[in-house]
Amino acid sequence: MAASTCQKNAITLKGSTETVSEFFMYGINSILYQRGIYPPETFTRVQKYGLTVLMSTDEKLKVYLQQVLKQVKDWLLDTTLQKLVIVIKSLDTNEVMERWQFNVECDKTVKTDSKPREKSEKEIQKEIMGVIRQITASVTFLPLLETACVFDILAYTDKDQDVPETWGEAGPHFIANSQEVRLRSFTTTIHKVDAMVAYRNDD
Amino acid sequence: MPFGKHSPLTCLVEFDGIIKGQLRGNIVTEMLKYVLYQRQQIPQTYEQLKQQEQLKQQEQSKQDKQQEGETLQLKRKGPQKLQVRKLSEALENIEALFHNINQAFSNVNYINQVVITLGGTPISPKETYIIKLPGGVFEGSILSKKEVIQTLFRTLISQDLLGDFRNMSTTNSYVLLQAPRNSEMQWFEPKAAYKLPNRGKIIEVSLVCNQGSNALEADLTNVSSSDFEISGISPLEISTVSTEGTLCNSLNDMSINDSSFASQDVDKEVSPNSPDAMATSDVEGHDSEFIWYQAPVSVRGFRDKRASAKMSSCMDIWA
Repeated sequence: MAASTCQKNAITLKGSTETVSEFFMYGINSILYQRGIYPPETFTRVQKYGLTVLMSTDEKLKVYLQQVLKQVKDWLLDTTLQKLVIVIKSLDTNEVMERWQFNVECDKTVKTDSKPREKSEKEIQKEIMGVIRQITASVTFLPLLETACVFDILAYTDKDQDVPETWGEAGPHFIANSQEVRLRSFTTTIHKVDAMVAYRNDD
Repeated sequence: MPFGKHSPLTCLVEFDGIIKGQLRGNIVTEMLKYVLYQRQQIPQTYEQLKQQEQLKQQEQSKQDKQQEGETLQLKRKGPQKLQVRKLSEALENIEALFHNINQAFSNVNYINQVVITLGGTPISPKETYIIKLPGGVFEGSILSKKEVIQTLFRTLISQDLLGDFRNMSTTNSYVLLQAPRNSEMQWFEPKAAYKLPNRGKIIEVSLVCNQGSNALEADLTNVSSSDFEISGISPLEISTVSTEGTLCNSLNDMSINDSSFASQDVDKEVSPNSPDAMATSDVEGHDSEFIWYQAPVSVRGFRDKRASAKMSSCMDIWA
């Protein structure tokens, strides 16, 4: 996907957008698998970033994520996306259990016709691999989700953006009395993504 | 400790409470899982591999039932069969390690260090992970497994110790435990001549139990070795003393091999066999009393070739 616009040693705004949205696709799927939001047998293994990543085969979920990421891609290309948040909530109580936050810093000076930025695809992929690995390893310290859970995706954009038809305005879905763990980040030099997870502190 | 030209990467993990015996074994097995996955020796986490193996077995037994009475033909292609064998072998060895590590911690009270090496041999590995286990503390709440594992991995992941490491090719992983020479260690083989490697990357994870230790240290500086009076503790759970000159010196005066200690009133004496009293190389003169014991099996790393085969179709779906 991203290969056509991310040359070996340089990257354009379009290539960066593809790379980041592709990361979100794999990252969200990893979270949904790791946290047991969907049954494990509905995932299939694929090789990406030098890792085995689990991707959902659930048709409804795939369509939903494709819609979300299409919009996210537009915001990335406009350099107006600030955060993407995956919220995991209890199905029964609607209580927020976990919040995976990806802060996005966009270089607004870069336009679609700007000169490509120097950064190798290999280096970017290596950084992304580090983030995906940490997402996977996070299961070791995150509390067990004991009830059935659902997830929501929240996007924070620049204020002047119109709300797309399929999106609604929502609150931040913060967790009261939470613990936070900052994860790795990666940068394409055009978009920088910082990851963190917040979870309910039951202690 | 011989660390060669590269200084070790260190990570201090502090626990606010007591870690009881068996939990120390759990720490080691969880660390092993973490290292194997993070350093690409297994393509997915141990739990995921296990889950897949179980699903595969369930499918297989369904197929077997359907084919009852017919001649069973193995339909897997050659490379896939090899992949399945590698996975089964790795899981089998990991499980043997887990079982025996837990057994060792149940049977031997004084395991104070564990080493996981990645590389051709444990003598010249590419990477060495030294886990310095905590000594006991005398006061404080007893930590649950959940608390211990969460604290350990929250710290490891926050500090991101392995984040900048280069990708690693698949290799062998070995586990060694350090315990007294005369301990009744089973399954693990004594390697009296083994020394910690001084080549490759060295990562040292020190686990420390904090609660109550300060009070103890203050007391210890004011008493002689014969005056120790510590109540309410298990005789073999003594706090870390390596940083306390007073206690180390006192312990040096005691004979490590003095079997009479075993029959002494443990409430009034610090057992010289405690992990702290025998804090390996930190206590001068007692190095030789601890030796390394090596697990007789290693884990051979492997890549997931089956996943790559599925990649194109899955990417088509998601494109």
